[in-house]
Amino acid sequence: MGEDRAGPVSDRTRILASIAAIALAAAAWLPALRLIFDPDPAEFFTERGVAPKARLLAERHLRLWRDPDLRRHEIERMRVRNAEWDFMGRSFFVWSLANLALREPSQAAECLDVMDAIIGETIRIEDEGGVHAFLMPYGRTARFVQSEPGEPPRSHFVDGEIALMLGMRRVVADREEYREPLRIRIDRIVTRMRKSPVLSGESYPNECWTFCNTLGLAALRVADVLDGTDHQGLIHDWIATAKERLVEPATGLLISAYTVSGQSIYGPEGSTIWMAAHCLALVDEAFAADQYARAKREIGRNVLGFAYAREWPPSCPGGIDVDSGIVIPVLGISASSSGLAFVAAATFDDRPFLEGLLASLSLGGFPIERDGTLAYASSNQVGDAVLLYAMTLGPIWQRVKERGRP
Amino acid sequence: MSDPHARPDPRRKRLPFFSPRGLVVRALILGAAFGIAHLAGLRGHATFLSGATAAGIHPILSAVLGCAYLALYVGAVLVAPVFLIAGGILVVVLRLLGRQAQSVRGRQESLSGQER
Repeated sequence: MGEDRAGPVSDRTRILASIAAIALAAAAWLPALRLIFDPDPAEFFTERGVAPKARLLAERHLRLWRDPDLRRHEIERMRVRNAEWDFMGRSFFVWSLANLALREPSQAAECLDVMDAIIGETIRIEDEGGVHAFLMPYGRTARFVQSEPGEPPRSHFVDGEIALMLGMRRVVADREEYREPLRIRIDRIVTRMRKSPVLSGESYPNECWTFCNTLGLAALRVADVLDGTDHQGLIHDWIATAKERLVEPATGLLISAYTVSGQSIYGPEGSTIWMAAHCLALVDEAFAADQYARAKREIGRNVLGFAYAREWPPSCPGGIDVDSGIVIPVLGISASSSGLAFVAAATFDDRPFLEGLLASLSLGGFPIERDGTLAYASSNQVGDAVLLYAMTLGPIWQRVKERGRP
Repeated sequence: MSDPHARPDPRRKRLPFFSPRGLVVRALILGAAFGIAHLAGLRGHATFLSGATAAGIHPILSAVLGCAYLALYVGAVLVAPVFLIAGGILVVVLRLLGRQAQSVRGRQESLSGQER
């Protein structure tokens, strides 16, 4: 390195050689990155038991629920930005705990205790603040068209996720006190669906979301298995209607949001379709697999072995909003869509995609492992809860399917 | 106070970027800057990517610190290794080019000597 400035080589040659060296070095280094960020999938996903990283993620959430100060602080931090996040963080964590309890029966008692605490507090907040306690402020700007005059507004988003919390808890260990609350939620879901020509309930005023409606179908299925009801016809009709009226023609993907009458508001989005595919897997495996394959083709991406998901298919561009989260330009990487892609990839046991997503998570998730807990700095409580759900899902869906077989 | 008439110290000349040492030194600076940011606990501010803010700090400051951490991370993980490898490649390339230039010059000198 003694010939940095002067020597037998001219400045022009030195600069050109440097540019070529940088290009060559980049061509060698960038593909090699995947070898460095190469997490062991067994650390995150396991067929039986609980994977080590899932255990660490779960521990962080458990501490939040064991320590009231920590919990209040975390919830305030999220609610300042978005009350939905607080609610969804609760839902995904309860669903994770249900799967954890089945994966590790020795932990079931603690899981059930925490699930009951979260369910109880969530219902209390809803009782005190109404449905708006968990909705974004624009939910107050118009009237819920499916609510009867004089009735408090109801949201498919809130009813569906609470119903699924109650249902999953009862799948792990039935509890008589939850039977009636689940029946009431299911009745509300069914009543709203029957009021719509596209058999859909509104989550916000005159705004039906595929995320919430497919989640509602999963809740109906779980309730059927638990209480011997039969909503198979309604589920079948919803899927038939969705195939006919709620599919975006260019991609074949379900649109994300639509009016009660079925008019499209938002086209296909990653933050919706991955979760929709996961929920549909419980009620119509063929349709779910088809939606997953289409979603992977349209918005799943892999660059140098690092997988991620876009929020919108190239043919249906959209604008950045609270659902998409920050979208990294050029590549179109969406944190929300990529996080939920874990859920779908785990549901369909798509190992290559999961491994690519894990590589991306280790590269850009900024994991912080401390005192036996794990959190991802580039995520938040709901993001981490979604990841935990992806790492634990399986046993509840499996049990519901087994019990539902004639 | 600096002396306005003082001549610049030739040893403190700016290291050119397009040189093996220039690339390696910049790689080390990027690595060190990231290391300091990491040890200072800036990683937690990367939560701005999810739209949340780190605890106990103004949201805008948290986002600025998060952006800085992200930039330094990219510098340390993507850019610095490329500079290091490029520095190594450049040492070899410049040495080969230097030898070639010297042998060409030597041949030219011997030719001109014969002509004389």
